Amino acid sequence: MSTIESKPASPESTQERSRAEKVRLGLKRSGQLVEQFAEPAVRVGKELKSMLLDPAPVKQIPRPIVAPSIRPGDKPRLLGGLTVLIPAYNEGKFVADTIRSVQRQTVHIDHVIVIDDCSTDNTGDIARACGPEIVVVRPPKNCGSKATALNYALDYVSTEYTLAIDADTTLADDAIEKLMPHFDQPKTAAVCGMVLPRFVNTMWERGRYIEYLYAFLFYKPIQDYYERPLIASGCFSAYKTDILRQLGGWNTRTVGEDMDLTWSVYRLGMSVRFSPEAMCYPVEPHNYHFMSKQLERWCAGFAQCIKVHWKDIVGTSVLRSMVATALWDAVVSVFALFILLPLLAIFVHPAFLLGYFLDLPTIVVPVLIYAAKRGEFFKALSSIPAFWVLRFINTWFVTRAFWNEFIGKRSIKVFEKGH
Amino acid sequence: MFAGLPATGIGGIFYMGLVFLMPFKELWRAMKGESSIERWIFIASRWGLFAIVIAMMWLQAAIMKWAIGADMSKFMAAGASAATGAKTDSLAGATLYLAILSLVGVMSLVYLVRAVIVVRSALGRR
Repeated sequence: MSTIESKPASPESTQERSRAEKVRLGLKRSGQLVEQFAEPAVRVGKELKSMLLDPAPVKQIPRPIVAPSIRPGDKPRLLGGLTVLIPAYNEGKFVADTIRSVQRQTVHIDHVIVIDDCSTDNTGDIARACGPEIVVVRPPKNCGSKATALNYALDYVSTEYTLAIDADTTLADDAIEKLMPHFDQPKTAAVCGMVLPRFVNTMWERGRYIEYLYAFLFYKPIQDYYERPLIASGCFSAYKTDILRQLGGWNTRTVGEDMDLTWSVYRLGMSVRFSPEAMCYPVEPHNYHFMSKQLERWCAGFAQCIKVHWKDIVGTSVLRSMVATALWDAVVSVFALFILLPLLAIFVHPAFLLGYFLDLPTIVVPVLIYAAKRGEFFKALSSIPAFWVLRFINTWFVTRAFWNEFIGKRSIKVFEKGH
Repeated sequence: MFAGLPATGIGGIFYMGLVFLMPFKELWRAMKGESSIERWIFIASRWGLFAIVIAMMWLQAAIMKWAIGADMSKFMAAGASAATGAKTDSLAGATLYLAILSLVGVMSLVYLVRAVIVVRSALGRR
């Protein structure tokens, strides 16, 4: 069991750093060894294939990511290696499930680091109990944000790829295997996976279930086609470690660190991809209390990211139009939903209430088609009313966030996350 | 759209536009040797999906017209047309007109801001 306790102040901190550096170098060398064996074989195979099957000049040669296992029975290895970071604060209830889902992956994971962000429950102990290969790090004091906790652990990463998952998120067994091949293009800096709620019981979870089906299976593939996913979701995304370091890790200037990072990647001229086959299942808010906290943070994050990145967004093709339309819809919907339609219904004719369902087919048709493909047609059908409720709540929170950030000047810096 | 934002509005029409443009972009990629049959299948699936969505919207408009009565439908359409300046007696037509008008306005504003930034940075370099 390897446990790295709190990061002490100097001179111990220097020792700790040098130890981490040594570990990193050692791991890097072992990774290079694997590459030395595997890469030439893959390269020769690729060249042969291109000579025999595809004599036309190849413009952009995809780089192989998954190497075959060296010994029979071993899991295939990821060239360059992968470290999984799991930031956790009082996630004792869920962290074990998350770690086990990482351990069950069909590809070899080089390192799993759990950042126990000074939890007051037994998160750290539970994580340690999951296996000797799980590294648990505990900062000297609570980081205050997920971004800071992730940056703390980034110092210990020695692999070419870094994957961040939330402590309440489980992965499908083949999620990482499906996710990583999207790094085959040199321009790709990050890849995000498909998200669906783990539990779909309460009204809030049902609303979120429809929201995710719609956003991840309808909008996101279109965004991915244009190589501009609006956000690489923080609950399950992989990054090239050197790009992460180049960007200074996860930024703490906004409360939407995942969106901030995604848009920073675009600023570098790199791309982000979406893998619909790589499934993850976070625990979504099950009541209004937690939902309101999450929405407050998400909406404030969106507004803050626009504030920080607006010049870069305007200079980034497709992204600028996506953000502008999302912004317009977010701002105008409050006027339409809360003012225009009720007034028309009261003073002109109640039939105007049908306006609330004007875009019903646009949402329901794709959602039901996707749900039917997953064998969840009736679950989706019965969850659709919950989505309409959540949509009202979303409208309220996004309006409040924009008011606070741009007019009220009451920017959110501290937030409560988790369960 | 991402989770946490109200869905559709002009966003729906914008994404429909993106899907409409996909074959042209793919044709350009094909000319550069970067296309594949999987990408064309993906585009076809998106076009198919949007065709179903549009058909369902048409059906919904017909049901709404029947439900609220032809007279009321005409009255609402006239109101919507007056509000949007659309030359149509159909409620769906007036709504679509308003949404497209908003989308064009938003897009124009974005490109105007972009032009201002480009010009200002060019002047700043001198």
